Amino acid sequence: MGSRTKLMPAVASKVLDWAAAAPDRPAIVCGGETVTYAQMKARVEAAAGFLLRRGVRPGDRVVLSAGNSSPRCVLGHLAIHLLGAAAVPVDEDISDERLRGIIDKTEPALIALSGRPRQGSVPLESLDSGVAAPRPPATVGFDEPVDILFTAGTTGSPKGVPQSSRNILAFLNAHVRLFGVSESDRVVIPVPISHGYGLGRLRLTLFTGGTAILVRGLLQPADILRAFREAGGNALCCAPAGIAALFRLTEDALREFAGQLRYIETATAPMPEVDKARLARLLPGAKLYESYGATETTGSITHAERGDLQGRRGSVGRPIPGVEIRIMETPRKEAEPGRPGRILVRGETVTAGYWRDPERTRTAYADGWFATNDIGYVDAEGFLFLTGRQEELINVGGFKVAPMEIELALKAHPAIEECACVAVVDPHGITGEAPKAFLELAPSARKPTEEELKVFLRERLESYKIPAQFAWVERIPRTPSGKVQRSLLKGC
Amino acid sequence: MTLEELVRKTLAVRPGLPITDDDGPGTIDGWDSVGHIKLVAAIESAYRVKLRPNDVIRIGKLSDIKRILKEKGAASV
Repeated sequence: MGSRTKLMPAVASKVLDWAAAAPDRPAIVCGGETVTYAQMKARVEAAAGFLLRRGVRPGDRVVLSAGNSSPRCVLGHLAIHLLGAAAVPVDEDISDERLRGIIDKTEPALIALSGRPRQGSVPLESLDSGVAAPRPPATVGFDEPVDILFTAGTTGSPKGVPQSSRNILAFLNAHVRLFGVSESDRVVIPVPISHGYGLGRLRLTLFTGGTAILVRGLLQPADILRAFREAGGNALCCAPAGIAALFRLTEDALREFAGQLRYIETATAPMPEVDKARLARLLPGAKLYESYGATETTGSITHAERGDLQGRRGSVGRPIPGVEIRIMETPRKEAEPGRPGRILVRGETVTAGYWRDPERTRTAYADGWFATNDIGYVDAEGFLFLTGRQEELINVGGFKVAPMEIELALKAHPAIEECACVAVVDPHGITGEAPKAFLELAPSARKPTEEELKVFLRERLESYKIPAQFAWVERIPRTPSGKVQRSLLKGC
Repeated sequence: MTLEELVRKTLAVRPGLPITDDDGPGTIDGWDSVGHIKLVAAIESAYRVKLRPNDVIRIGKLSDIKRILKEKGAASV
């Protein structure tokens, strides 16, 4: 049974404390702006005034763009918490279809988006037009949603993961110790704050009074270097794909910051050994952390430091404090050490279930355990190794993509009769995996060019979901019951 | 192939949408992190040049790419 304790969400509450304790310290550096804690408090309270005037009340949901390009995304997020409502962060370039799905599921009181107006949204900029006003006490039940994050479902329809104060505080408590974070941290965050990993690092940095330096991915590698050089970044949280892209685009430029970087953390996918060795060579004094987790576990389940994984290729470290891991060979039989099975997780960071989705919740959650999408084993020393996936998601540089979502978009093309998507090795050597689409031509249709297909998909999908390769086939292989046999397409 | 055509093809820009020298990641859909890397790889292949880190970090819009390619002596940008 959930707790009846009510409190202000932890990060918003701490930001107000830091505004009193360290008013002039930068809280966010983003989009050419530096916002101190005192300025942040004033702007968050003004944004809360705007939301209140637009009818947002405790317990409501608010969908908002959560990009790394403007401080408004963070200010809006905290303003929602200040009112006791739940934030539903979405990508800035979210497709209309995915946005529609999220709106249908969350029934938000308000939608605040950057870029072009959509579906009755207000511009994110309007948050700046607010005036601080008396507001209701900002308290949320300990087990009620603070944020609802949407993640890929294998059926293509988005899954909402409500993260509560219980989950977030457990995450923060564990990571403050693991990372040895302090007020002097200036963390460069190029991973999107609309997703669990980026949002988690933003929460951790603001909670501990550090400075979050938000960068728009690896779009401009110069921005990352500038974040170190000009904004004084002394830590980096990044997907392994981001490190690969940095190497590809800037070679060994990271060496310049060898005396400055305290740590680099990677998560969302295993980092290639060759990149780990290169980082260690360039930054001999920096700690290298690797994490593994899921949105449903409010972030990392395991953690490793440089050296922990020597001789343990494929390991993602040991469980973080407060997390238990269990490997199930079958739904009822636990695996012996060293034997693979589905990875289950239990602990305070594990969320309670999917938002208004009892069927999916029943499938993945039972007795406090969450069944991840991954297959792995634990060795005798307690290190977790990943060996595969339970479901057929494609990991594009840390973004999990459901093949079915791409297939549904492709099937809307009149020249495509049937299609199937699988993961292939990214031809550019950056994102690890990339989608490849196999296509059957509709009778009498003209075969569209690859360029035409990409343009068609751009209207319907985020860019990282667009297949890197297309192949026309006579027939998509299927089982007698009609299920696509993706395993037969892999390697084709 | 002109640079504009290469950008259109690599980033799947919608036909009919104009592209100017001032366009860049903020104004062209699909010019995101992954698109940026694809574009660098496509430029290197199409113009037979190697973009060094100092070149890559100067790319903020199309005109920057043109200037870099001219400096490298690439023909018909």
